[in-house]
Amino acid sequence: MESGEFVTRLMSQKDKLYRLAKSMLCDASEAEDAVQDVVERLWVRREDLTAHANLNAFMITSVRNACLDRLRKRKIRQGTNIDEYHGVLPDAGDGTSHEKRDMRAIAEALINRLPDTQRMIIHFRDVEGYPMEEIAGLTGIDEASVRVYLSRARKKVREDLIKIFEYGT
Amino acid sequence: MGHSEHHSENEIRDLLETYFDGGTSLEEEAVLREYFCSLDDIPPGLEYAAAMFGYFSNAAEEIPVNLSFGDDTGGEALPARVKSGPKKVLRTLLIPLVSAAAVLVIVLALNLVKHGGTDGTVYCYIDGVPVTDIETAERYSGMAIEMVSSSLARTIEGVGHPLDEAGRVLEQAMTIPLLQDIIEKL
Repeated sequence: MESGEFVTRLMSQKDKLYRLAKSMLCDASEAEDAVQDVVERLWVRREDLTAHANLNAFMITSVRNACLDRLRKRKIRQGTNIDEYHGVLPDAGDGTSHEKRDMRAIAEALINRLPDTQRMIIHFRDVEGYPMEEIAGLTGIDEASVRVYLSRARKKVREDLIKIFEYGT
Repeated sequence: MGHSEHHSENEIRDLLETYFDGGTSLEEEAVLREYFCSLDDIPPGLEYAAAMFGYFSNAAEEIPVNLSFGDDTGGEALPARVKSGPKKVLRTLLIPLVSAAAVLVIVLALNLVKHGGTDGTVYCYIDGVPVTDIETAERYSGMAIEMVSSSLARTIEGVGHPLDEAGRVLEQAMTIPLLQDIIEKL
């Protein structure tokens, strides 16, 4: 693959790759490092990449695998303390109420506590909006199981959010 | 308000049940997202859904801050390391190096105070041998610091794997007899 084509394809995907890495690693800086590592590896072997029919999927899978490696190397994160997200959020200056931002931050913290596979699938579907069959292809999990993982993940987040909101009233 | 005008709260509640069973289409999920993101007043009992769809909507727009590449226009340049890389190298290297330098200064100062700069003063130890000549001690100290600083500069300018290099430099620094002796004597 020509270097120019590689860069063009990469630039069209880099935000998605970053968001996937961040959803898996729960750390913006480490997510950028992970994507950069993958890009450097792909760059070195860019001439071989022409063989991949779906380069975008290959990039996503590469980032997913890199993140899984990083997760294996670090101890599984302990549960995120929801209290950390109260009252410490910067003012986005976009007119969004503090209450709404807090609610979103709580949802993010709960999603970050999901098991890796559930977190990855909920990201692919609910953040990036991928079709089920594409998620199945990216994760190597059959479509029926993807739906089961997705349903469990959503219900778990809902259950925890309801507990938090009921506790807060 | 787009879709939200055309869906009653009951329809949304029904759609949510299907959503949590993993049975909604992408179009139906878009309806839910738009409904909850456009609401000013969240219906009682649906705060959890507003939180979730609010987060999904925000997360979908998130972009990296420090992820940059050497050439965005399609040239031959190797993708540049992210800008945060050198910061990590600095943080990883500077803390132990500054600590080591501080220890060195303290040890030399303590020796000066203890012996008052008289003949026979032991300023430091090199390979276990006491050094009583202040010029020799200063020369070895300068060499050690220069070696560490030049390695640090090479690392920061490097394009390889800065963190691996940082580890190597630290190991190299710890093999300097002067630093080893000082640390052993603490």
